[in-house]
Amino acid sequence: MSLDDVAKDVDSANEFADEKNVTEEKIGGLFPLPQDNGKRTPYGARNYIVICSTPQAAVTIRERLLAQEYDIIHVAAFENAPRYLSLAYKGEDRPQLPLLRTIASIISDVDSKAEASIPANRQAL
Amino acid sequence: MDPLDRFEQCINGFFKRLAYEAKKDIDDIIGSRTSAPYIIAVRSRNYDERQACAHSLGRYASRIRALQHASYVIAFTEELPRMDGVIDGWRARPVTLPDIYRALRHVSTRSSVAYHLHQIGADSAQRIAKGEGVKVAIIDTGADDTHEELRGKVVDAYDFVQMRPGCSDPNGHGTHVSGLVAGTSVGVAPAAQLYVARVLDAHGSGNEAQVGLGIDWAITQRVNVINMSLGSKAQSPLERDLIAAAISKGILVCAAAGNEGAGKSYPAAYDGVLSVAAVDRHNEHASFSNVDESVDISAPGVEVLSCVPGGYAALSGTSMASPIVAGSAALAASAGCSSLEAALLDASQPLGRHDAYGAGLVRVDRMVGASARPERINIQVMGMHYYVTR
Repeated sequence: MSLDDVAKDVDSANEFADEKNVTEEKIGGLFPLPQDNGKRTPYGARNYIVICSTPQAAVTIRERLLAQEYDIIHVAAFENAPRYLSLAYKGEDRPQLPLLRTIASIISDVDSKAEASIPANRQAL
Repeated sequence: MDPLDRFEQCINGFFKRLAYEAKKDIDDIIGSRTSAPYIIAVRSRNYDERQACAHSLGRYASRIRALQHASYVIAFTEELPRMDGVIDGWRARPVTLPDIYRALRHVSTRSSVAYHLHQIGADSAQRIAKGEGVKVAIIDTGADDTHEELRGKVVDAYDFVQMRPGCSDPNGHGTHVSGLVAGTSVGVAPAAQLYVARVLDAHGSGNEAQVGLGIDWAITQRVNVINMSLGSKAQSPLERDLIAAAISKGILVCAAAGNEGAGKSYPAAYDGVLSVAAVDRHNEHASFSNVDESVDISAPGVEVLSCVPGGYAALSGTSMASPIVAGSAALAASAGCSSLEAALLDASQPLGRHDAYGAGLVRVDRMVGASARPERINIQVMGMHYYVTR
């Protein structure tokens, strides 16, 4: 899927989500839809955490994602928690749903047991 | 300009920045100004001794007061010659207004306003060590490494909000926390080396992915201590696994117990993390500090002075208590103390219920075997021409 395809697809994806009042649907069977205080915010959350079944799967997934040349995502590996990946979006208002579907298909190809989650909030105390 | 005007200007210039209790004492004196040409300051950390001293000097001074919040008795007098008997045997040398400024600045920050240092015995412990060679990671909103308290202290920094190297702190929270660890005047371990990971944004908010990246980076930097003055009620497998990795490498992890009054806050409540509760200057439990079985230890956390970008501020929270424990660990480590967590808990001063105070108040002086020695009284006569000291 090219970035042009992503751009074409994003409006319909968001209309669908609005119509169905989607709050828990998983994109591509992997990514939970971002939420913010109960309100769907498909463009608001910039991070996902992916837990892979093996460290090697995490390495492969990271390499495959980086090779896609999507300049709108950042894939960070954790040296000291090698099964985890952090997917970080550089912009808050970029199309995410179609892109996440694409990413989900790549991840599922490599590791069918991988799980993605929205990071828990943390606040200065 | 009249010397007293200059003196007042000098003191006010400094205390305007701090605006704390020592200022009130000195304002009272300056507020009832006298034409006395000499200012006398007697230094003692013991308030009873200061009161006794004020009594003995009182007959020669037009205004005199033993400060409650600074280790000084301050008096104005026109009759320095008549005080020869009192100050007989004391050596005099010329003094300038900047000398006075420096003396009061030192006293005001170190002994009175930054009460936390005395409360945990850091002022005594710093005679033995100051955190030399110990690496402390600050996982927070960043840090202002240009502040006079932190200049030269930040060895490395990375901004995981903007994903680039750097150390800015648009919020200020991380600067305050960093100062409590290694600030020159307000830090527990002023010689410690700081590694700053910015994981919270300008509003003090972030997520576990950013925090995880900060912990991961800190482990790779081979720090000795990690401080996390942040949290929420949601657990994170990533955070938990990274903290377990840190602990397995011998890193001490300190975290704020939470400010909701009760319940668990993560990362503080994970196994192996030292969960730090807050007390006030009288060792009373801070009402906001979470009461929970996960609490391990307590430290000052009410109106604690430290640096913020552009100045100083007294802030309250378990965020302030946690770096005081982290700094204590750094100081003790530089003094050769091993098994830091056990040493912190064993040396603490019991205060009461474990779910409120944990093992009690952190006492870094006990960790390094430093006893709080009574201060002798030094008499200084500070005026345009004399500075008398023992």
